[in-house]
Amino acid sequence: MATQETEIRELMKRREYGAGFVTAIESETVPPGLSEDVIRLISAKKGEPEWLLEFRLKAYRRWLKMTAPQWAHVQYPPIDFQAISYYSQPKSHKAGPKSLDEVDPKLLETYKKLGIPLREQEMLAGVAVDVVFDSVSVATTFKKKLAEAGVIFCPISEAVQEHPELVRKYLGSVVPFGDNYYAALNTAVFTDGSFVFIPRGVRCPMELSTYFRINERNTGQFERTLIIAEEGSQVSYLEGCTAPQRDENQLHAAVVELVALDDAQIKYSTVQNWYPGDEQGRGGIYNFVTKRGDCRGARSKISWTQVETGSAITWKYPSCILRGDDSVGEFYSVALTNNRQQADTGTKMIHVGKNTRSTIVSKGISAGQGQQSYRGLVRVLETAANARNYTQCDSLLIGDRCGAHTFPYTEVRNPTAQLEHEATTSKIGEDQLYYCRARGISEEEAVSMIVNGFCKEVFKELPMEFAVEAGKLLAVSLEGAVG
Amino acid sequence: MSAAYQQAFERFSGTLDRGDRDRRQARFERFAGAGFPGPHEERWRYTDISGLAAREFALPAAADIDLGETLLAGCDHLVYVNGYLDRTRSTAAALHGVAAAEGPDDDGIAALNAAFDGGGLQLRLASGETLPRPLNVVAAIAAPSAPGMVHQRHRIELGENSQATVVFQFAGRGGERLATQRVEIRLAPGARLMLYRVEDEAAGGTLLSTIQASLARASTLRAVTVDCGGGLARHDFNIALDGAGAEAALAGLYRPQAGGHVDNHAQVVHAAPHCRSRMLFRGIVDARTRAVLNGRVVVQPGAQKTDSEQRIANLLLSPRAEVDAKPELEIYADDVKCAHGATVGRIDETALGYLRSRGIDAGQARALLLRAFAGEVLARIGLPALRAALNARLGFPAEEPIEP
Amino acid sequence: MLEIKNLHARVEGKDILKGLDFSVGAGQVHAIMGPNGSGKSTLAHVLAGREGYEVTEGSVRFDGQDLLALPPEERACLGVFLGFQYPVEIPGVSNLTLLKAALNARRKRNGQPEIDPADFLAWVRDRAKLVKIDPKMLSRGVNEGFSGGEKKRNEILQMLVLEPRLMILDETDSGLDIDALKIVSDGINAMRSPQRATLLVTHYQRLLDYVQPDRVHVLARGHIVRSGGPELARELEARGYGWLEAA
Repeated sequence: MATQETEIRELMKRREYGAGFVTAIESETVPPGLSEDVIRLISAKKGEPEWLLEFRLKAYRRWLKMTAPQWAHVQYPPIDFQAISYYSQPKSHKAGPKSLDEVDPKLLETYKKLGIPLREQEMLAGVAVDVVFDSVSVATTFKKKLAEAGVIFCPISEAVQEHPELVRKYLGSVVPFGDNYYAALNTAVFTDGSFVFIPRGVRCPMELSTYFRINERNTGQFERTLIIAEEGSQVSYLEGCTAPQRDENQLHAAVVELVALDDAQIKYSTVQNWYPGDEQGRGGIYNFVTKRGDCRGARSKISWTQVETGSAITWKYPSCILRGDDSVGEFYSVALTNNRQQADTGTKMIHVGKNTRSTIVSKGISAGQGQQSYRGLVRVLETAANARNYTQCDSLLIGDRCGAHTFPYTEVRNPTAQLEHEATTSKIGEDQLYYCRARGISEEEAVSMIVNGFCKEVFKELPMEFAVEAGKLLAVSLEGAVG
Repeated sequence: MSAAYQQAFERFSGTLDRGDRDRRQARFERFAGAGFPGPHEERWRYTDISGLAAREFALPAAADIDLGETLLAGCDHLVYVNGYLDRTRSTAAALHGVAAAEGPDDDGIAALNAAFDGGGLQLRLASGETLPRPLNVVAAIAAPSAPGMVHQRHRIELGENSQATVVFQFAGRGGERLATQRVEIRLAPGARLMLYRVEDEAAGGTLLSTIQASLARASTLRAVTVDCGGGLARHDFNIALDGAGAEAALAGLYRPQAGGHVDNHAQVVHAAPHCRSRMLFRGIVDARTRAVLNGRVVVQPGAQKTDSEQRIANLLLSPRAEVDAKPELEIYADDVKCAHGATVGRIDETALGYLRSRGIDAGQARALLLRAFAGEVLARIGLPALRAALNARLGFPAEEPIEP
Repeated sequence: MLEIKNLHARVEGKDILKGLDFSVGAGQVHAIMGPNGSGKSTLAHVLAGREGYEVTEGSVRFDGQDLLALPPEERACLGVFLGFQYPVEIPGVSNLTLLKAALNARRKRNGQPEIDPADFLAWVRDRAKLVKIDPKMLSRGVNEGFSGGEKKRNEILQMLVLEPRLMILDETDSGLDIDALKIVSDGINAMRSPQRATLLVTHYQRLLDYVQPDRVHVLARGHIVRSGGPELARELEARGYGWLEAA
């Protein structure tokens, strides 16, 4: 029986990272280092208005006084922020392409390899895609069709130019510039990201999607996403992330802000497959992300779904502030850590309004020497009469050298609140594998079947086509796990 | 740090012999250096005692007080008032002693306790020995005229296959005060300890207690803790399952009185395979009180076949009360069964309505339901005298006799 | 079809099977009977290929092929089916998922395309009727929350769906009430054919009232102590195992 465990370990080791290639494209990259001058340079390159530059500088000055958070259950050497380049764009990308025909063919090829064929996508899938390559957005599809519905979907740098009043009103209104160390850094240096605005009463006619790609060496990616759903509107948004295989660590520190007004619904899904580093833990992305949704309006709803399989270190807590009465927050998460990956992820549900409800379902899979922590906070304020929360966090362990940890914080100040938290830990049982094999199913397929079964409650929250993708991603991550 | 701590230490250590004084001096210096933990420390996130540093406490004089129901029938007693052994009421005075603190201090509080330790229970059982009667250790503190502090350290060492039942009752009687109580437990293979810890600290008082237990192979620790005071109480329960097949079952009930703040930090470390741990905590949190419960189970590498469960349930009964619960798991082995659950809610309105429809008035119905909720924990108390005393202290209706 | 020669097996360092010899021909039903701890279940798991069950001597051939050299899944794809005494629960993985994966594994091995989803559903529904399993139960996790009797019927359903050629049923009758026993027996009988063979591992004669065996082998302390026709089972029922074990 010990042999089976060894085999599972072997299998986990051999996982392949399919998105690890580098695109040979000439880039214009600002030399490494961070200073007020670099921030002025980024701002100038983007032709930003004065208020935005001031916003950046304010954040930078705050950041200088802050220290990196130590509380997460992850270990890594201190990051040298002066060794990172804060801006990189493909040279071919000058004023910004007006249509896909103007996009560098090498870029199109890159996305095709990643399974995001921009042209075909436009033809077939009915998904509008914004593509961010290193620091800049290189293509956004379906703009016209969306515009007809009144939906704005564009790079945030473009939104700053075209819709400054909206950006100024909402940027930093959910995640304040000094919220935390990495959010402050992002605010100072963010380069691009997506901007979504769904006007009152509009149900966005298609899925919106952004693919993030880090290509250049020694660059950090600091994207900023802002989604605003006005009264009664609805939108479903998905982001995907990949990066080349490199020996050094790269920093990704994004900020995502969601605002849902009365009766609005935002569904935000992430399939995160940044390069995880190799077996020995060399290389890989540091994924330090602040994501927060503000259910500002009554009966609004924000739902986070994430499938996290990549990154050397993940540090993210997509959260909901349930301010509006009867608002709803959801967090569905699958996180896989293998080899030397570490993840400290979870959510915060802050109940402010009356009759607010939240659901948390977290599924953690640890294999190899992966370390995984669920960290969640459910806070019910005095004002949140009849608040409800249900939390379930389950861990699945593969092999005896990994770790699975749970840190659920519950803070309740209202006697009408009802909270329930359940957690279980299990391993893939040898008897389960034997049972499947006795039915003719290979061990590898059995592992994948059991893991997918374990994640089912989360996958069903993903948009259909991405659920399939997520299942495949897990299967790939487990490929060769048993021999 | 106020100068009062230094003054109190000088006065206290002046009475000691040279060697003891030097040892304690080192501990005191460690305390002076480390101070009290602050709310920025994760473990003290919900309980802020940093204000203690500025307070001026002195060691109180001996006093005499009515011990009421704490002198449990059927037990041997070891009674302390204001930290002094009360020989007249102690039937087991021979078990009193002072043992030099061993090892480094975990934090400033432990150092403070070691510096001022006035002694306590020193229970050592030889292999195969069984303590004939439960031992009732009472630490009572009279209302002092000036802010006072009491520090005690107890030790229980059970030899192979020996057995004992020990009750620790802490009763504070009002006034400004700081007390630290530390219990160190070592169980040899096969030893069994039943431990009860009752805290009834009055408003104005602060009790910081620590129970450290190390369990060797196949030994068992069963513990029931009850908090029913109105002061600030912080309890750290650190259990290490060091030998294969060791078992720890910890049950706790907290119902702080108005103004009370109770913080239980219970940690079980599975350091060996085939160990079992259970934690069951229930809280009734009413007007102007705050209850904190941090359960933590750590499964170290190699501790396969760990079987652990944490269950935390809270009833939050007032808009001016707060519950903070944090059931943590840290797992570094794969063949383990670790479940945990935590709930916060209110009294079941349907059940309340049902009882009232049977003619029971609302107050009585509520009390019965609360007693039933607390019963999960209280039922684990094997000493009838203690169970009855706590039932009354917690304001529950008396238990019905089983025979009509 | 199945030839077992001088089979010795060891589990956790203990010798359990100490030299078994018997053959099951196509179309035949053999019963393996014996008291608890005699090695019956060990034999079933050795045939299915459970890890940790070490064969120290002897051979097992299935259609002339060395069965012991194959991993469990390949044995299953060849047509060996083990009905478990204690069917395993696999939360999150539905019965349908398991059945489909198992069927397709077989088809893949035979160079056939994957089964059409509609055909698959129709086939499973049809089979489920035979063992009176509500099709709704099939979308639940494998054996998750099933009663003891439901688990056993589910084993028979899997057998009916997968249509194996060698059926090894390990104490499938234990813990069943009379109605369930009839359903299970009907399922087994429905599978009897000149191309198939069945090995019934059982403690009691009860099942054999419904499924008539061709041969009965009595296993005690790792040896076959007696073989005979169906009448041997009835004799065991009347006299118990004591007289054989003593022999």
